[in-house]
Amino acid sequence: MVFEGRRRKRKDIFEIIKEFEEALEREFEEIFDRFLGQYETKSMWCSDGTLEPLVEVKEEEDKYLITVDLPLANLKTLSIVGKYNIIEIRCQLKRDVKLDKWVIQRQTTFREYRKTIELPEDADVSKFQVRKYENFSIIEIVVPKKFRSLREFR
Amino acid sequence: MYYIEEYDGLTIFETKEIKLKSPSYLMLGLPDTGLVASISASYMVDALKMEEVGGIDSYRYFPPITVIHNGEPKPPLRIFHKDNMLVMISEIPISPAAIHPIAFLIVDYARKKGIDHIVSPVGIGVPNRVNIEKPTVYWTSTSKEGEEIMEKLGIKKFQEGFIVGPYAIILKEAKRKRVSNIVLFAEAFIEFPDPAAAVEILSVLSKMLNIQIDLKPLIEKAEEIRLKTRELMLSTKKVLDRLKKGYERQLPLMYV
Repeated sequence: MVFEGRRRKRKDIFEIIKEFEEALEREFEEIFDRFLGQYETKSMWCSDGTLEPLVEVKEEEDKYLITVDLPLANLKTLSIVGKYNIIEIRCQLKRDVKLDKWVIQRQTTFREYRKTIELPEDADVSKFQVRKYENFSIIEIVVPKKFRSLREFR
Repeated sequence: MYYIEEYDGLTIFETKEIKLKSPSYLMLGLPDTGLVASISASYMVDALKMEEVGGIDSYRYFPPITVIHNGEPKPPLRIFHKDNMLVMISEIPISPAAIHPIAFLIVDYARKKGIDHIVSPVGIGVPNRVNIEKPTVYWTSTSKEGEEIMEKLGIKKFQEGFIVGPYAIILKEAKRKRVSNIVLFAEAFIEFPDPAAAVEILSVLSKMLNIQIDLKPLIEKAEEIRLKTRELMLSTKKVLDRLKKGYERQLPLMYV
C-alpha cells in the first residue's frame, strides 16, 4: 500500500510500559525535588578568610580514606591533627585570593583552608598517614580502624 | 525577544537572530562529573569571544534564582553563538526531575536549528585519577557522520560502560530522533573539579572543529578554577549521587 510507510508505527506493550515508568519516575523526582528542595547548597567561604576544601570520605574494610582537594595550597604548611574521632586539616594558600567582583565577599582576603572531619567511633585517628599528590594539590589521609576485622574484635 | 518557545515547563528564548554557518555544532556545558563540561564550555565561550544570544529558564524545574553577570540579570542556562557554534552553559546542576524535559528540549531545539552535531563533553570518573598525568578521551556517536569525524582524529571509541545523567538522556533521545550526538568522554576526578580533563576535551574539539583554541591560560589557571568551582562541584555531586552515578563504575552485563 502506498500509505503503509507513512502510518505511525504502533507502540508495543514494552514501549508503553517503559514510557509509563519514565513518566512515573519523573513525577516522583519532581515531588522529591519540591519536598527536599532542588539543590543542597552551602557556602564554602568564611569572612575570616578561610576556605572549606572539597573532601571525600570512603570507608574500606580496615580503614577510612579521606581525599582532600587543596587547589592553590602551599602543602608545606599542611597541618593535620587527629583527636578523639576528629581530623582537623589546615593549610595556607600559596597566595592571597580576593574576589573583588563578588559583592558578598568583596572585602575578604582568603589565606587558608580549614576543615574538620568527624569520623565514626572505630576510626583510630592517632595512627593516620598522609600521602601528598603535589602535582594535583590533593592529599589522601588514611585512618585505620581500631578493629581491622570482626575476628580481631572478638 | 527574537524567539520564544514553551516546552513542558521550560522556556527557551533567543534574544538575537542566530545565523549558523555549516557544519553547525551545539556544545553542551551542563554540570556533571568533574565539571568537565562546564569548564570546557565556558572556556570555549571566553576563548572564542562568543556572543550571548539566548537562554533557558523554568519556574517549574529551576530554583528561584537569577544570575547576575556584569550587572545584568541572566537565566541559569545561557546560549552563546559564534560562526557555526552554539554553546549552552548551565550555572546550576540539572536536578533529576528536570533532566528528561531539558534533554528533550535540547534535542528538539537542535533539530529545529538544523544543528549538524550536538557535542557532549562528559567526565568519566576514574578512581585512580591522581595517578593519571594526561586524561584519555574517548568518544561515541549516534550518526555515521559523527563516527567519520571522530575516526579521522584517531582517538579511542568508548566501547563498554554506563552513562548516567543528562548526557545519557540526550544521547538516547538524539539516537531516537536521528540527531547526531558526539559524546566526548574524558577521564576525570569524580568528586573534584577537573580542568585538566577539560583541557583534553578542548584539545580534541579544536582538532574536530578545526579551530585554534589557546589552552595555555586554562592550564595556568587550573588551580584557581578548581578553587572557585568548589560549591558548584559540591551541589553537582549531591545531584549526581541522587542519580545513582555509581552505575558508571559498574561493568555492563553484556561484557560478561
